Amino acid sequence: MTTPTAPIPASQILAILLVSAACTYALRALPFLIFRNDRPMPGWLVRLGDLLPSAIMAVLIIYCMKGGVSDPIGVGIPSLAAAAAVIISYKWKHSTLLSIALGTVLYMFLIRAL
Amino acid sequence: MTRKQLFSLAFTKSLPILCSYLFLSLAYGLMMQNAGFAWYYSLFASAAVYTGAFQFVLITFLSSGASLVTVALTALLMNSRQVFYALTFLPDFSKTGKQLPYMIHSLTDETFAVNCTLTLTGREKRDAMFYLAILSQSYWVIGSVIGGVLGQLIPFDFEGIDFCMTALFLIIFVDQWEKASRAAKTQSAKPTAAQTASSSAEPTATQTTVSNAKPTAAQTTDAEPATAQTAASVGEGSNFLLSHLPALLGLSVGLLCLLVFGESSFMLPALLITSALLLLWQHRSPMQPRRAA
Repeated sequence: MTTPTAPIPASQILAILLVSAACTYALRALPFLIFRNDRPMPGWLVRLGDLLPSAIMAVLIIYCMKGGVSDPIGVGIPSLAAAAAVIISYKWKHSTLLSIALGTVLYMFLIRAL
Repeated sequence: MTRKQLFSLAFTKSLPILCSYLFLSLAYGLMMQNAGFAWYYSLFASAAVYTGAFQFVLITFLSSGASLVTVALTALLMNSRQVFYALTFLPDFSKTGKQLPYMIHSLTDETFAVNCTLTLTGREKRDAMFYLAILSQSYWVIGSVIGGVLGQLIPFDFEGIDFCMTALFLIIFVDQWEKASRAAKTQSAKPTAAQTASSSAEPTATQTTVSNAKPTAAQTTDAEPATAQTAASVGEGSNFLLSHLPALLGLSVGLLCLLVFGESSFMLPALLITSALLLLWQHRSPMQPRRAA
């Protein structure tokens, strides 16, 4: 094992990493900063928070399969086929790990075969 | 449940994250190493930044020595979806006390998704979420370090292993779908069933009616006769639509935004438009009678 030499000075690496960490943390913390104990969440926001998980999950699924648009055969078909396998097997057996294993193996096979 | 039982539950729930994070972070550590950044930089990035896709983009930023403004803007844009995750778990997280800063830090796509599947409540739920958070980040950090140290020794052809996360999202989606269907059936008199479909509906609802007395209380009490009325007139079809509206909206808006905005920048508009439409819808349906009156 060799320690590689970084292309930029360590101070710059640290600065970039710290800025990234601060921005990411700020986003995650934003709702908590706005609605602290003394300022309760308004009702519409609570209801939105209840409705969001299903909607976000749908958007996340599309996010995961987005590569299918630019590469319909290499990524699109494998994604859709593996997704179908996951949904059907899950509807059938209701076993999370089985469906994940099945879908992932099928996907890894298809992206190599197609 | 004892702490031990909660931990083993969290571990079982975290297995899909384990398979996805370990291999992805292995690839990350390897790429960092190849770009000239030793394992301790990967360790630091995975511990402090801890965000999947953006950390990969960060490699090119580090290699080219990008300006801090570019780094900050990209981080804000790429991770903006995290704001929406925090929104969902605000009521639970707010009670985590000393753990809160870490719970905020460790909220990722994957931990958000798995947290949505927890059927526990109160303290047990908070403990399980905390264990899940710690386990998930350790997978990510350990993988990055192994990738950096041993990466070149591992015959690396795990391409496509990340589909296990897609599979997990699909399964959670199916679960939420079935839950919404059940809710619609049991409360077929109330077309607003979709609202109660998601996990933390009840405790949060009571919270706000207590704390935020006037407007919400008025809304919820007024909503009852209205929903009963409309329930009589709506058929099965619109009931199906109503109970699955969040999921269907997410799918269609997400797909549309992907086609319009492209792969790299559709997440934020998709989430914003979906949230706006959900707000509009839940604002209109329960509030109509109040306006009429």
